[in-house]
Amino acid sequence: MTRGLRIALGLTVVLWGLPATLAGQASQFGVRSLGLPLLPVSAATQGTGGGFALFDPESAINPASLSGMGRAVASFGLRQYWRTSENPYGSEGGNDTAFPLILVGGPIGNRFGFGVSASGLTDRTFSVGLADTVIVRDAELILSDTLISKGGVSDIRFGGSFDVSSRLSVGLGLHVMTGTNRIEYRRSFSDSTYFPVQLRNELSFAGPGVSVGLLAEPLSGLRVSAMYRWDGDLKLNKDSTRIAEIPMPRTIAAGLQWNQRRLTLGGHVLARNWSVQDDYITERDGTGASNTLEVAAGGQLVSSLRQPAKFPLRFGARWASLPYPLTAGGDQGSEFSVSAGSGLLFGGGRGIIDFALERSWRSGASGYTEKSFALALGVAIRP
Amino acid sequence: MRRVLVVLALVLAAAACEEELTVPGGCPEFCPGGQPLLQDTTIYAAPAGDSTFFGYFGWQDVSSLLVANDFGAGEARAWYRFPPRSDSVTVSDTVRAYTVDSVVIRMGIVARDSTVKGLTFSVYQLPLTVDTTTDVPALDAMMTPDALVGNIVVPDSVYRGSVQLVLKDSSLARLVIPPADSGRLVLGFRIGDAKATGARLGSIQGTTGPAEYTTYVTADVADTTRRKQQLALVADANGFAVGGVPPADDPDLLYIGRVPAARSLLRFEVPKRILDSTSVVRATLELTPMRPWTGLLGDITQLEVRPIAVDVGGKSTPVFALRAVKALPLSGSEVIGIDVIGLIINWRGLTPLPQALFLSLGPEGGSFQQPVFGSSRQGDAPRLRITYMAPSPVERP
Repeated sequence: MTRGLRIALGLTVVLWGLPATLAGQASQFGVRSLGLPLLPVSAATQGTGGGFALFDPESAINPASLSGMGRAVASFGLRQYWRTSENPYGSEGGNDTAFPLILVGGPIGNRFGFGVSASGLTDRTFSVGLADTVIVRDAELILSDTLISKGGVSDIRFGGSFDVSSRLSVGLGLHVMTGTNRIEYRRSFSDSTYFPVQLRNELSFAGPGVSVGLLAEPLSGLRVSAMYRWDGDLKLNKDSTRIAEIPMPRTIAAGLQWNQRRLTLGGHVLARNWSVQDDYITERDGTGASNTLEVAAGGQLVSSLRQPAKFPLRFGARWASLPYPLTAGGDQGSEFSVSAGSGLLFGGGRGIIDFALERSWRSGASGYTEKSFALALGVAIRP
Repeated sequence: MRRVLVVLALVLAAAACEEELTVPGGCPEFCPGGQPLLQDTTIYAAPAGDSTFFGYFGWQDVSSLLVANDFGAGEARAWYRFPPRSDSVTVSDTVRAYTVDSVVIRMGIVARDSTVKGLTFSVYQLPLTVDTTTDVPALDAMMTPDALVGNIVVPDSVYRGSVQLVLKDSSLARLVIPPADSGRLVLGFRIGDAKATGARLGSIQGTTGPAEYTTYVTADVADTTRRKQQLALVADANGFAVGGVPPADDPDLLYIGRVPAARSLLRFEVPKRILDSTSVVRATLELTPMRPWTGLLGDITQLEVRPIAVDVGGKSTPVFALRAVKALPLSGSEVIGIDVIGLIINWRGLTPLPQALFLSLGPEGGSFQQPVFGSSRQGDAPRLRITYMAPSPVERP
């Protein structure tokens, strides 16, 4: 076993001990059901708008991409969001920090790749201030409610890849869906004779998943990839009591990447059949769920072929539909983002810092919009 | 490169120091699972679970004495009994006779109607036979013009505190203690000048203290510098009588206050599903008065409600650390509501207190208001109006 792999395995153990919940992105579009779907990509891929997600070994979508991990690596990502949300009830700015992805991996021998990652699958982090007037005891009573939700469904993936040939790799990922969702409901009243209420609930998630993928290079400089993911029912526990089992969508994606010396262009299309949850949600007076489609494309222009990670120029754009409408029968929301990023080396080339700036626009039913800036930072250590 | 790293670190550190997540919203869009509803229910006192018990405060414990004249709260007369006044004084270790120069009678006002101008108290010398069983007609019969010692004129600027009556020269003749009384004196007080008002006077157990009288004398002693002496006496018994108020003799009604003091114990049976499975946001104890009452303007009488530690009927121990209070309105017969959520939240949990409330009056004894409430036997049972919020369904995605 190489030294690098030993370190990688050690880091895996550390990673396994991390809290199951990875902080995610707060959004008013994450209020419904399981929240806002996340794309578990590295900061480098974030810079390409997610266009390289199916090819990036440091992103946790396609297990076959682990074949591209030439040496052991431990990486983690950090994203800082600044957002402005608008809806018929007002407009408010905010910011939050997310830790979207932690990954440890490396090659095993010449043909196998290995990687363990922890990332966010969906994010249910939001805080909503509500005001209402009700008639209680024959008098008007103004309610001031604050609903705070933090956490979401996390995804831990044990992935492996096998190089069938120099032009074809396949991968297998075993997933554990986990995480917690802490919900706090605060209510205060205009009449001080009413006691304020503070309710706290904590839900935990559990469920299995399997993903398979392939990465091929049919022509020199042209790579194609595909992945499929199956997830079992997501079990919801409240204080160790099972309260629900939610069907989870299948994921299917395909990508294309073209490389011509300094320039690499790539993209993917990803679809999820979230509508399998529709009956479950609508039976509980929810707003339902719709299938989603995601399209991302981007590129990278390297300044040094010898050290491609040193100050490359990355760019890209991504569009995705959102699964959970804010209102029953309302418009399906969507998000669009453009990104740019770069990276630099440190520690004699053993460390890489990637960063990306992303501008996003989300919209749902008429009057519901959100704009955000995200600064993504990824640090990868290659012992 | 180092500079880039520093800048990146600073930007992220500065941005990450405080999260701001909240956005404005409304239902139904931002209320997954619906908005928790407020529900209101009324729980009546358990049948036959509400009772009045008497005797918690006796005459010796009252914090003030009542005097009233032609007042909605009834007629009231007060009296103080003083210890024997010595017929001699000791000067230079020698007992000596004395002659009375003057007498000052002082008493404290605890509360009075500040809008009444020219208030006076008439002071009478009463027979030693007066005691707590002496009622208003009997006292009135004793308060004759011949027994009048004098009138204390209360300055309009004095609402509470000490006032006094000075007797000297010819007025001294009004206060003569018969030899048969062995120097003992009983003074009776009533509102003077037939004004329609009332007042509360200091008592032995009250913070204002009872009446006192001081006799200034000239001792039979050759040393002129030591001739002037005084004999100060503080009342060692007191009481008052109230007339015109129906007695507390109906077992189907709930009484509080009076002397001896009454308290009422109210038992409830609030369902566990409300106490343990919901968030109670307001609980109001509602009591239906059976008779109108009248209080003294500016004088606050409180309704006090306490939970009990153990339910053993009238001897149940109240939880003194917990109470809900409400000032009684000056007059009226409207339903009284008092918020008791701070008490009933102790009815839930692993070691809940008994679902019972002790009702009393403050000050206990010596209050003009004497509320009488309906009971479960009479048809206007005390009730708890509980507003609660069901658990939020938001917990399920």
